[in-house]
Amino acid sequence: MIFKSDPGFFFFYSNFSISLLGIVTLLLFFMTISLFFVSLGMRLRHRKMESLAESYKESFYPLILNYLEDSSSKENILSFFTGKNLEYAVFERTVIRLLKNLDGDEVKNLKELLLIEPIYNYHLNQLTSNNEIIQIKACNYFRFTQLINPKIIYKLRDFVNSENRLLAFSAASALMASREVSIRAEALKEIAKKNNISKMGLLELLYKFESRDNSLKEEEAEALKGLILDAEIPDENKSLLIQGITEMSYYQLSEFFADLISDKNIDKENVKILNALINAQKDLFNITTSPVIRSFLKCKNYDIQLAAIETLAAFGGKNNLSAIYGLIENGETGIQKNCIKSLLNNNISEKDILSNINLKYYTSVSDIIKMTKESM
Amino acid sequence: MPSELPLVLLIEDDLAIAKLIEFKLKRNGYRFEVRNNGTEGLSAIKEFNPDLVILDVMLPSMNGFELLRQIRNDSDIEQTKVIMLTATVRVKDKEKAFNLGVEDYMEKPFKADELIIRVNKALKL
Repeated sequence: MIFKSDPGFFFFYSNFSISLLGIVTLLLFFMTISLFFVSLGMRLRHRKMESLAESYKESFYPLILNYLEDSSSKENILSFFTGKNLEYAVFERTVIRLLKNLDGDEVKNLKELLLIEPIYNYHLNQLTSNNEIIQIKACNYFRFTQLINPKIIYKLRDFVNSENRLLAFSAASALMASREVSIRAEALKEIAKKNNISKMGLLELLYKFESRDNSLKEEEAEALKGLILDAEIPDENKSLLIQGITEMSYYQLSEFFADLISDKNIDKENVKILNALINAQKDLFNITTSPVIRSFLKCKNYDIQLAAIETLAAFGGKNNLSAIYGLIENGETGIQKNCIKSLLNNNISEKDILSNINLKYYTSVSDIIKMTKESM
Repeated sequence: MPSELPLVLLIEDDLAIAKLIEFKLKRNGYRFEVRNNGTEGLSAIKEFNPDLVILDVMLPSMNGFELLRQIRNDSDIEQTKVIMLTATVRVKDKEKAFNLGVEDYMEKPFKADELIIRVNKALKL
């Protein structure tokens, strides 16, 4: 209250407020003006780049189309480049756009255009960028062209360890073009070590790992065994690898998988791995593992029990089928249904199933067969 | 006499395909016009009365099948020869296109030289 009665203070206070207000207003005004000019500049720059890209595109189309008619005209394309990144980006986009729509010899010729030196060097420079999006673009280029040398491999190996999963995956994918099995295996391992990696991503990488060069098959199989035994790889990913290896019919690992499931020290609580291994025996038709698989029929875990039933039904044979018939007679309804379903899926007829069970279960089993058939 | 060269109208919204087909057709002695949506395509057919239309299915403003139906329902242009060039690979779509009287049906990705052969055949050249 004492301040209000002091005219000096009031005068000072009001002058100060007005000055401060003036300063803030001026500051806001200049900021608004600056932002306006910055956004105007950005817009103009963007428009200029767009029109430049359009003009490059217009110039590239005839050059590329002429090249498709006469491949000797590649020189005309090479002489067009002046070293601007936008030129390379537009050229590459144009070629890829055509690639997506064309078929036949033209595809081969177009792909060769992506390998020309200026484009290769452009992506080589992208690898040294600090921007992860640009690095991913470079990885995708080397993945697509499969043009990798020790210098590029060095950089890609670095990216595989990145926290950015997309960058790590793109780099690992590009490394799959290497002839060196150890480089491919290391990249696959680094990705498989990561938690919550996409199932499709890991399987895709595994698929790329296989070189389809028969002389490397044994070495690749050994590297894959190493991954399955690697303690750093989470069980979830390991079971995916087992599933993928089996689906790719890697028969070189057939004995290895049989040894793993027959190992007395195998962790019986590790459902994911056990399930994948049991299914692997089925898909690789490792019939010698029948006694071990039969032992899993007693397992308390439903998924493992089911995998064992399906595997034994696929193997067939008196002992395996008897074990399944035993479960039809004594098992829970869910298990009974799965046993019947597995047998029917393996072309064992209803008549054969009924003729192999004790007569006293005939009616109840007959009803379950009927229910199972309806749900199939 | 350039005006006596057969005129092909392409109705296609993909610039890359348009440039490629233009290049190939001109090299093979055709005149060429392009429109990038169904409505403009229909107007161009009425305006130019082309010898042949190469028609995409997925088009802005009016899809290829609708455009084809309008061509067949308009007595002035109903005789227009049409080749469908599309990424749609369903047999039902092919059946629909042939029922609407297309000369030919090509799937993308396509061989550019094969398209020229089919254009020649459609125009009996």
